[in-house]
This record gives sequence, C-alpha cells and structure tokens, in this order.
Amino acid sequence: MEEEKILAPEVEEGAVEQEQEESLADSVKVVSPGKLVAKRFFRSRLSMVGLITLIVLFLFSFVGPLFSPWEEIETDMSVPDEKRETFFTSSYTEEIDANIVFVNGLISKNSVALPGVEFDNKTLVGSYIDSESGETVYFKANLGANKGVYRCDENGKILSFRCVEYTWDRKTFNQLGKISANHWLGTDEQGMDVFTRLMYGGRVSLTLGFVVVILETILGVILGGLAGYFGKWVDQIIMRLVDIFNCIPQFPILLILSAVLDGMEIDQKFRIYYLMGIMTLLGWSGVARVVRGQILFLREQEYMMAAEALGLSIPRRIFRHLLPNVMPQLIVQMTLGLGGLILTESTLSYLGIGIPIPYAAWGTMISSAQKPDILQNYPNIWVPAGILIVLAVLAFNFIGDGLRDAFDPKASR
Amino acid sequence: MVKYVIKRLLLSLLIIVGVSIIIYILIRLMPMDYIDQKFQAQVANGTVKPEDLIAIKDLYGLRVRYEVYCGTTQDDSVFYAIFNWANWDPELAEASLTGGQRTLCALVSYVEGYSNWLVNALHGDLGQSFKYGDDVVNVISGSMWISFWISLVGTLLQFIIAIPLGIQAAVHQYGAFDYTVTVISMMGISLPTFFLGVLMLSLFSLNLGWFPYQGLTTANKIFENGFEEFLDQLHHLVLPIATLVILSIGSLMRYTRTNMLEVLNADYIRTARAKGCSEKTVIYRHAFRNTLIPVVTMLAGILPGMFGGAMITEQVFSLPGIGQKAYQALTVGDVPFVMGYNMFIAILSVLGTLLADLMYAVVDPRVKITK
Repeated sequence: MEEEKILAPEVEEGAVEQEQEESLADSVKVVSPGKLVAKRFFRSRLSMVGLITLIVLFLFSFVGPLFSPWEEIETDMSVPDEKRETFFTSSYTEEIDANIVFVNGLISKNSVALPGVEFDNKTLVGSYIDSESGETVYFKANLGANKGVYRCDENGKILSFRCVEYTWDRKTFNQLGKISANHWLGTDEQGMDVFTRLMYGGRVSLTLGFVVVILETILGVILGGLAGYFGKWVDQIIMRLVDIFNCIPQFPILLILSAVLDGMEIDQKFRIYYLMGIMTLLGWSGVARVVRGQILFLREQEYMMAAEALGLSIPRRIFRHLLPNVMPQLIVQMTLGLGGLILTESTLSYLGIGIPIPYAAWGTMISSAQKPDILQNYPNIWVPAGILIVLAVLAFNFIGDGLRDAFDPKASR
Repeated sequence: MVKYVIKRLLLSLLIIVGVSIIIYILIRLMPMDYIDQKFQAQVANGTVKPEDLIAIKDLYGLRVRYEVYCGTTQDDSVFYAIFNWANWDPELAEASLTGGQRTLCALVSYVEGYSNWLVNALHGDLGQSFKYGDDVVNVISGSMWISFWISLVGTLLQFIIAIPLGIQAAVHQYGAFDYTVTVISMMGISLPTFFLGVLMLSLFSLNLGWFPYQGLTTANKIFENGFEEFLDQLHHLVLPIATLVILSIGSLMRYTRTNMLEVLNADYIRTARAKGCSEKTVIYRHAFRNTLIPVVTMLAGILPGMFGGAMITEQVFSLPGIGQKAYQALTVGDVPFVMGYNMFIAILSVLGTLLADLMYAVVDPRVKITK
C-alpha cells in the first residue's frame, strides 16, 4: 500500500544513521549529536541569514513601537501644505439668521445646515453635507487678517458675514501622506503612519503561526503516535480521518467558517484567533502522517524490543523512546509550517476575513491595494508589508532547511 | 492491480462522503445564506412575505424546521396553534424552544437536508446555484476549462523551466549556481500569491501599461475573427500565468534538485563514471531518467487539481474561472454551489493521490502494488 512505499527510503536513512553514530562513537573526539547538529546548523550560511532576519523582524515588531511617536491606530490630524487648497478666492457672503449667535451657532451653505461650527475670528472648523455628492465634507477655514467682514445688530449678534479670501482644508487629517521625516513610509487612507503599523502588524503575523504550529503538532503527534504504535483498527480509523481532512479544501472552508463566526457575533478582532484554531483542526493530518510513518519504522527497531523486554509502560515507551527519534523531522516540519502559516494568515487578512481594519496586520495592509488608485500611486502603503511577509517566510524556510540539513544523518560535513 | 484500484476507489468513496458531511454541516451553520440576502429588501418592504421566504427555503431544505420538534409537520392545526403561521416570526419560534430542543431541530433538519442532497447528488444533480441561476454542474463545467488551461500552460512552463535548473543546481552542488537557484526558489515559495499578483498588476499593467488590467477579454472591443479574440485573451493571461509559474517554480526546482542529488549518489552512477562515460552521458542519459520518476508522479498528482482553479490568483486578476466563481458564491452563501464546488475539489484531490500512486507503480518497475 501507499504508506509502505513511503516508508522505503526512510528505512535506508535509518540504517545510515546507525552507521554514522557508530563511526562517531569510534572516533577519538566524541561530539554529542545535539552539538553536532548545532555546529552544522550554525555553519550553514543561509540558515544564519534566516536566523538573523527573524531576530531583526522580531525586534522591529516588538521593540520598534516603543520608539515610534505614533500608535497602531492613530490618525495624524495635521494637514500638510500640499493638501491645503484655497477654496474660495472670490468674495463670499453669508446672511446669518439674526436669532443665532454666530460664535457657537450655525451657518448654512446651499441650504444645508452646518452644525458645530466654531469660530474664533481666525479659523472656521466644521463640516457640512455636500448637496451634490451627499458626502460629509470636513473643513477648516483660515480667515485672512481683516478679510472677514461681519455685520452685527445692536446686541452684538452677527447678522451677516462676508469673507473675501480664506484657505479651506477639505480633509482635516493627513490622508495618504507622502514619505517624510515624520512618516517614514507615509500615511494610509485613514491617515495612520504606515511604518508604525508595519511594526504592530508583525506582532500578529509573526506570533500567530507559533500557536497554530504547536497545537497542530501536539494533536498530530498524539493521533499519529496512536495510529503508528497500535496499528490495526486504531490505525485504520485515524488514517481514514487523515484522508478525509486531507481532502477538505482549506480556503473555502475558512471562508465559510469566517461567515459562521460573523453569525455568532464574535468580535472581528478575535475572529482570526478562532480561524487559526480551526486551521489547527484542519492541519494536524500532515503531522500525524509523518509521525505515524516514522513510528511504524521505529517500533520494529531492536531498541524498542529491548524497551518492551525491560517491561517499560506503553506511555513511557512512546514518549521517552519513540518520540525523541521523531523530533528532528517534526522540528523541521514545524519550522517550514510556520512560514506557510504566515502566508495563510496574511491571505486571510487580504481577503478581509483576518485582522480587520483599523488593526494592523501585514495582509490587511496589502488589501488596500485592491483599490486601483492606491495600487498605482501609493506603493509605499502596501509594498513594504509584502516585502516583510516575504522576508519572514523566507527566514523560516531558510532555518527549516538548515535544520533539515543539520539533522540529516547522511550529511558528511 | 485491478483489485488494488477497486479497493482504493471504494475507500475514496468513503472519504468523499466524510468530506461532504463535514462541509454540509459547516455550510448550514452559516448565518446568512443567499436566500436571506437576496430577499432581505423585499421582506423589509413587504413584497415578499416571511412565510414565502420560508417556503423557498423549505424547497431547498435550508431551514432549521423548529416545528420538527412537535412532530406536527403533517398536522397543520397544531402547527398553526403553536407558531401562529400568519404572523410567522422565526425568532419567536426559536425563542419558544429550549436550547436542547433547538439543537435537536437543527440536527433533524441537517440530516434531512443532507440526505436529500446526497440522493440528488448520486443522481448527478447538484442542485441549482442561487447566485448563477443555473445548474451547479453546468456552472462548474462551464468555468473549469478556463482554469484548466491557465493551470496547464502554467504547469508546463514551470516544468520546462524548473527541471533543467534543478538538475544544474544538483550537478553543481554547493556552487554559486546552486546557491542562486536555492535562494530564488525559496523566494518563490515565500511569496504570497496575492502580493505577487498585485505587484504584477501594479508594475506591468498600471504603471508600464504592457498588459491589460484584470479580466479575460477587452471590454467593448469587437473582434474580427476568433484568432484575434484568442490573442486578446492570451494577452490578458500573461500576468496570471506568470504569477502561477513564479509561485510554483521554486518547489519543483527544489524537488528536482533533491531527487537528482539522491540519484547522483547511487551506485550505478559511480559505475557509469568508472566505465568512463562522459559527464554529459552520466547526467543526461543515466541520472536524468531516474530523476524523472518522482517528477512524473508529481505531474500525475497535480493533473486533476488543475480543474479546481486558483482561487486567489483568479480573484486578483478577475478571471472568470472556477476559483473566482467559487469565491463569489462562498461570500454570499450560495449553498448548492459551495457544496458542489467543495465536493468537486475533494473528488479531484482523491483522484490526484490515486493517480500519483498508480503512476509511481507504472513508471518505477521497482514498485509493486500489492493487496
């Protein structure tokens, strides 16, 4: 059957492993296997590059925000000069309802009421609903000195107001700001600092994978271990389950489940954690397969027969004697899996079912590129997030590869 | 061999039924389905009465039938008395039952709905897609070919590029070329699909203007003949195919490299060298052929999956393939289509593993299928 075929090369590997260990034991300088693996790992250039990249990324996301003047969700309310536009250059006269005091009152434009206008002789801050587009326009008008003319009645109430010239900011926050000393990578649509959000985004993207990988490995080791050790009907049931889970398409299921979670009215911020939990339930089958295959091979080894002859309990035999021999493969798979999970998490966020805006995640930041304007004109918003995802996944893959080579008993150097 | 295949096929059947049960339950857990969304406005303004909506849902077996609990579906009088059909209020009906009763109702209606679906599916009827207003079978068979051709061209290109590079990397192990290939292939593996797609669109379509932005054909363009239309489609497909190739080339390159390294360590290669064969003969006549064994097996394994579409790529480039159709159906809760699509994918992946295993036995004479 299929499983037995997969086993064939591993039998060979194992044999070589034993040979290698014997020859090592015979040599004068005895190096423990752990040290040997570490030595091999640190000598590999690519895995060192991966390790350093990862350390830098972790520092960037966890220590970086301490030095940033901006918060994860903080809109820059300042208005840069290039966004300032002179709205009215010709004179503009407004008749004021005599019953309303202008200072804390209302003025109207296009017959639409302007609530909440503050007026201090120099600036006008407020908002009105544009009668054409129906959008709310926020404005801040700077009145030039002596350019406003007011008409009052004898009680000091302003009757009319005439303004010759003033500048008028349509947006009162720094939306889609350019790269500047204040914002190293500019600001996004919500006027939030892209560089700072990159740091906070890394916190989620880098750590979520660990939880999933660890949980999925625990589940996979238990089920794969049971299947491999007991064989027979236990094996049959577990392996058929593995087959079923292998055939469930991942993204459709996650999309369905995110809708289910929405229906259960779970806070969108926490949805990704539930989704990751579900990914654990879907992802254990790969680990179980590896563990089972390895244990099927290992349990036929002489040392296991010795363990049985010594009368060791079954849990002890599994956890103390079998599992440590499966660990190298598991560690490699976990490391490579971490990279894959970052990809999955960011894809979910890109599709809008991961971390929701305004919270930062690398995938969420790229999702703003779905708008053609941002796609074409503001690469500073989404390209850095993509580069960081690539770097993180690449780092995990390099490390996983390095570990695989380091653990490889066939390696000569 | 025949016995083995039959056994595998029977097992596959079991797997597919298992997958369908899981997926069905998950879909039914979705809070809003297509029917709710579509008739939301009409229900709100009163053109569609709530009981009509319930009737539509009952037609497709998509409602948790709380009346099940009382066992009064046939006896209308009791049913009316309990739930006041004229002023049907699902929330009230739901609220009048205890948690356990509700779960029971849900279970009963899931089992009913699933068995109906299964009976129909066995007759080759996957139901009507709500969103696309056509038989699910027709929608799938109509859109899968676009996805298939895109994947096929992508895969062929991938094999043509990756295999020689992988072999060269193995031959020059630990050389500069090997490092370059390793790093490049790793980068391919590490790229998120959506990011690469978006990057391609931004660079080559919007900024450089070399390729059209999204879609399969240029809108509002009248083609003089079929060939011109074909060229136009090809022009649209360059970026998606390039995306697919770049993403998958890395893993194949590494796969080829690993296999080639294993083969190069084999005894018969040493023999060939000892006989005095030229390095070219050793690599391309002796080693290369054996490297192809796992590669061909892999090709057989991914062949069925090509019909399943690339959801993210199709979504990014707005290609009307099956992946995009499924994505859109998923987001609105089109139960029949989602169910049909997921089953389609499950069948494809079962077929893929079976084909790969059989191919392994066919290509490699050392492997014998027993049982």
